[in-house]
Amino acid sequence: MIKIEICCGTNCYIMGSCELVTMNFNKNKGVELVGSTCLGLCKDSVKRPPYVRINNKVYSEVTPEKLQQIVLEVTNDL
Amino acid sequence: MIYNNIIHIKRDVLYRTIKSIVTKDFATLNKIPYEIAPRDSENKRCCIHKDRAVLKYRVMAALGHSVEDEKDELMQLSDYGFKTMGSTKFDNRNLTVIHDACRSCKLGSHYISDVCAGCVARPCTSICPKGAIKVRDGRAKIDTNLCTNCGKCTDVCSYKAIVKVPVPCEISCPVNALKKNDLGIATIDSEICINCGKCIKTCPFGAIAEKSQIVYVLNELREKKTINALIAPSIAGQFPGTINQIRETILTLGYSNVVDVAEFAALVAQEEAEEYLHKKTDILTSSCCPAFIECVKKHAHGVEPYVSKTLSPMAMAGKDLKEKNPQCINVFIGPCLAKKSEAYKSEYIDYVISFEELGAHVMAMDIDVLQFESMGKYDKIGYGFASSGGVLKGVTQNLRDNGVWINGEKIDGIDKKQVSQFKVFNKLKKPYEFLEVMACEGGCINGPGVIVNPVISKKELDKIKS
Ligand code: SF4
Ligand code: SF4
Ligand code: FES
Repeated sequence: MIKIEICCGTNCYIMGSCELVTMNFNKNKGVELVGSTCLGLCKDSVKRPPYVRINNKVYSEVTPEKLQQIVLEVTNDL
Repeated sequence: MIYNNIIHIKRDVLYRTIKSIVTKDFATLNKIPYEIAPRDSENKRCCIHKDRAVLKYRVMAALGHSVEDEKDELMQLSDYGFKTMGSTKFDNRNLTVIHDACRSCKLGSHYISDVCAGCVARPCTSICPKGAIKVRDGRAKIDTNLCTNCGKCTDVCSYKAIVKVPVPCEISCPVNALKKNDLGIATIDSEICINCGKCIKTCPFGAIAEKSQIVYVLNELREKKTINALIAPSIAGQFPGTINQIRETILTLGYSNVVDVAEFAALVAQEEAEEYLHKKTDILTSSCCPAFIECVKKHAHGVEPYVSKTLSPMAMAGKDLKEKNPQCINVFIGPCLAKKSEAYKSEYIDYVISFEELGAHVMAMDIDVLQFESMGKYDKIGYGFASSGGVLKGVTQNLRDNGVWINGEKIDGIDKKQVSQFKVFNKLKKPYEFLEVMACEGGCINGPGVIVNPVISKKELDKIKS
């Protein structure tokens, strides 16, 4: 099971992760969405939340569309 | 509201604007368009320069200015910032059209899409009374010079290939306050507008922007006055975390008190129930939705006698606070655009900001809502006011406690059709005794200033209520 951590810290939540956490991916795809507290990435000077983290790889400015793509990518690697 | 690019940009603009103001680094305001649309980034409009031009106007609106008032195109955002900081006065035009962003969507134009098969029957060509449809290169085309947009062709095509292209803002406006100027750019007639905010949500180009009062509030927060944050019941679920955590966050921003308007909503329910018992008309309608009130005042006088005289929860809370301390400053924080108009005319409320603006302020101050203690208590009935059906429930429950059972009805969202119904309200059959009206479908949790998709906030709200 691949864990997809969606940052639900305040910055990311307001900038769109509130929408990402509602997305539904089939369990059998082997991915699991989990909300996380602030990943600490928003403290950069150039903020581009919302952030999503998968196996230590960080994606920024994730939109629902981008998340779909990311999930496809990681499941293809399975 | 479903999260989309416009919302993302809007919040980014607010966040950066507020950051510039709180750090007192006004020069950074000028950089915002370049930060959000840096060189080599993907352009959303024709080119990056247009993106930046629009962004500039967005910042201008975030600073509290009407784009329409621009006299000198060379005036910098930092100058607008100084201008706002130096004053406490704003007007009641709460919306502004960013002319550069408006696509001048064409009024009611008809278009034959790719679905057209260039069929043999060609019913469209024969039904068109103006002979505007011709088939060329295997596809039917409309000569826009001849077309009168009668719409007859849309029904006859077996492939449903002919569509009427909507003008999103005009369709969304329940009272037809949006008109086009000579260039086809949207303009808002503030005499007609009821401040429902539907056009902000609908325009796919983000051309209609809300003028923010946040900078005025930041100004007040800087001076050590008593500033009350009056939070609307619909705040539940707008942030990660509980109401208690949200309250702590707001206090950290520098507000002196956080007042739950939900408590006053419960009082409103009581008072409206009381009013119901002594009413002279056969029915009573709720009065807490200011867009509904404005709609009645501007477009449907016939409804006026039925509208409850009870103050809205916001006004009631503001009154209570001003009576205790006339010097205090009341900032209402909610999802609503029309509340700005209500507050503008009320002596009890000084400023209105949206959840989005509050959120951007929290971001700019780098506060994590989840760092605070989560427990606290909140009123149950009052929070119900945030979603459609909640006021009705509050009032009927109060009446039931008095041994009176009534039929209630709710109007969940005001659209064009609903407005025309209001116009003939006297003639309508009213098989109910209490009518709840909310201009936004689903209630305040679907207002133009919310952060979170109503599907989610509804769940949070239900948790509190249960
Ligand atoms: S929908 Fe937006 S872009 Fe189209 S005419 Fe209306 S304001 Fe302009
Ligand atoms: S009435 Fe509503 S939709 Fe129409 S212009 Fe005013 S705010 Fe926009
Ligand atoms: S809120 Fe997402 S990284 Fe901090």
